[in-house]
Amino acid sequence: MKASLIWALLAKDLLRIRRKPGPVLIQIALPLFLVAVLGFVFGKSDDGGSGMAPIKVALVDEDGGDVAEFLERVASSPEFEEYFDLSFRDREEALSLINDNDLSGVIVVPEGFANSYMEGTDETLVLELIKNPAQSVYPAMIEEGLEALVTGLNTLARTFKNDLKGWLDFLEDDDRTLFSDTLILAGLLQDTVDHFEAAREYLNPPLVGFQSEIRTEDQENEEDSSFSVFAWIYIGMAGMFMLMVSNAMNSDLYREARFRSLQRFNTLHEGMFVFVAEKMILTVVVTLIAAAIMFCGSALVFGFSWATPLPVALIVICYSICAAGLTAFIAVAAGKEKRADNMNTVIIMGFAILGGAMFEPKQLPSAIRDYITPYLPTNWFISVVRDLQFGDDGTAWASIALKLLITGLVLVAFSSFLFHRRLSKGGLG
Amino acid sequence: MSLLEIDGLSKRFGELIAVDDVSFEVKPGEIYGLLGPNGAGKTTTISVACGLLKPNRGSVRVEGRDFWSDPQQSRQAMGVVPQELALYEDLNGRENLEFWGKVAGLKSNEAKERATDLLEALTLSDRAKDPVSKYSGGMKRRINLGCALMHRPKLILLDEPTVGIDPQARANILAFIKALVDDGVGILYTTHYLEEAESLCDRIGIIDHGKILAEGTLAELQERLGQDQIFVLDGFFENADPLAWDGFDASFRVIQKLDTQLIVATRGERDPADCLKQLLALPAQIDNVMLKRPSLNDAFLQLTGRDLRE
Repeated sequence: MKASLIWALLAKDLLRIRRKPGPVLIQIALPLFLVAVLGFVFGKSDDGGSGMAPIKVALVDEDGGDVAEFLERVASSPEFEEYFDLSFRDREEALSLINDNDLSGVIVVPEGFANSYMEGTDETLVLELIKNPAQSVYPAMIEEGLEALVTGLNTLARTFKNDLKGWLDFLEDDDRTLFSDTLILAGLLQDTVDHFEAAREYLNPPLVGFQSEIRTEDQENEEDSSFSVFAWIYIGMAGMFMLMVSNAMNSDLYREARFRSLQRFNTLHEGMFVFVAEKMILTVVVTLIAAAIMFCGSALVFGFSWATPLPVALIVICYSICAAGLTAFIAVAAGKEKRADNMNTVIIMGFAILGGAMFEPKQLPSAIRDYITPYLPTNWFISVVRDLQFGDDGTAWASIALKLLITGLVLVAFSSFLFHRRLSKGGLG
Repeated sequence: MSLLEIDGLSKRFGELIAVDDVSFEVKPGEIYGLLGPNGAGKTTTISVACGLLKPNRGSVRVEGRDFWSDPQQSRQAMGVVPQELALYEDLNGRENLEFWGKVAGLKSNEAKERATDLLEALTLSDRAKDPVSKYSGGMKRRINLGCALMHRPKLILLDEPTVGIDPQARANILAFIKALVDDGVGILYTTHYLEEAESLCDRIGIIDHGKILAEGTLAELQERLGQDQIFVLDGFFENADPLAWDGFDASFRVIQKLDTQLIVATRGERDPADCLKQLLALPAQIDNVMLKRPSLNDAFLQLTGRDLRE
């Protein structure tokens, strides 16, 4: 009787989801969509490039001086060309291209900019940026790049203000003699070197730097075949969205109370344990279905393969049970439908972020990294699946799967008991 | 043997006494009506009767045995139709019926057959495959009723099953309920519609503030008002004191006094023409006098001092 009753309840709920699949489908589709966007913007493309087309930007040089020349030289470097397609235009032509949506932005170097900069004038110099309003991301990226350039120019001007003026006078002096040139040049060089010496402690060692890794062709081929930024991001996203799906299913208990169907059930059956147990089973089943779609779908959509499918599948099953228990526990602790919805969303986001769904746990503050992250089921799941996917075959996945399973079962049992007790005492708010 | 016996039932929520020493019984083939305004204690009484709430005092017996001695069997003996719709709007009418049938213990094929019969009886066969969300209010009410009947209960508890629907839909539901009684089913029916209680119920309990004030057949309740004569006087009675009028108290009993209306019942058997003559001679401005048979509302008025329709 109990088994057939649970089956009847389960069949009804699955039918309801089939009739109105929107909420569950959104939870499944959202991580695929987010990973696609993030992957295409920041991931590697097939040709090893950035994965996005170079940003088209025009430079209007109304100054005719050294700044535009400097930018032209920078733009011709391969690193720059990978991200930006810089062309020189006059203002009218550039604006017309923006109107036709052929440019993402235009940088205008105003007349007299280079001279004023080198002379160290007190008035603020302005570089003009015209953004294409029809585009959103690319103009913002140009603005970021320009801000970096302006910061660099400001730093240079503040540190070497007097030197720049001296160098300008020297270069523009038409009455130079060989003797005077040598003396002036020596003085300018001495001053500039002194300023560099003064700045040494700030510049060396640098606060931020990078080192190019020299790699063999074999090493590069090996990494390209195993590492996928899509897979790396997706594991974190899946960890979070499986909790979201579980949460949506657990909230159904509150909806049943609101629809009075829970009350009607109670007019036919003594106790509600079967009803609560069925919701837990439903949550696990739907989370597993969602996980299967997420994990298989992501591999198909983004063209990577799971390195160790069986251990990953087992961990996903254990994590689904853990997710069901965790979200049920938060839901029942909340006591009211609206409070449960709000609490669960916040807590799930917290579990995801602190568990490493969005960043490497190494990047988190040390207090969180050492005292919180290691105890979060999201971290157990995300870490072990990433380890399995990206190289550490010897990871103790079985013990982590067991830990997820036991935690999940304990939470499911405890939440069911609490739900049941709450219902027996007069229902859910 | 009674299908349902409620004896000395009391239920309180903190300081509020929702049901106070209520007793009545429902026999096979009988519709027992609990009539009272909103908040009178009707739904609480039904909730205790079907085991959703436990009473603070008193007993509930189903088919002769105490409800709580075997709550599962007691629940299986009854079908409860809640006042608020308890349906899955994403599912269609047939799916709702079959689901609740299975929850009540029917096998899949039994549930299918029973659902077909009920859809026919409730005149919903042609809309059986439409989602409930697309049903009218009356159709939802009928499916809500059908869900409680899937397991053929001997006792049906109906908590205001016609609230908020049009007269045509209400008439359909009432006709369906009357037909159920012919099969020997006992029904506890709560309502605040006088007409429903008058036309449907074999016996009626008038309930207010958690207490049953009077109980009996419609005729018995009407008799409480005296010899079948009620006079409704329209006029101006704002400052009037009927008890001070000469000879009035010996001939009439005031049922209700408003600023513009006075309702009185005669004392003893009297000639209506004499009564009318006496009323028109009263020292008050009277614009109109109407003679009528006492209704359930008049009984309610007399018992509670207020109109059930207020």
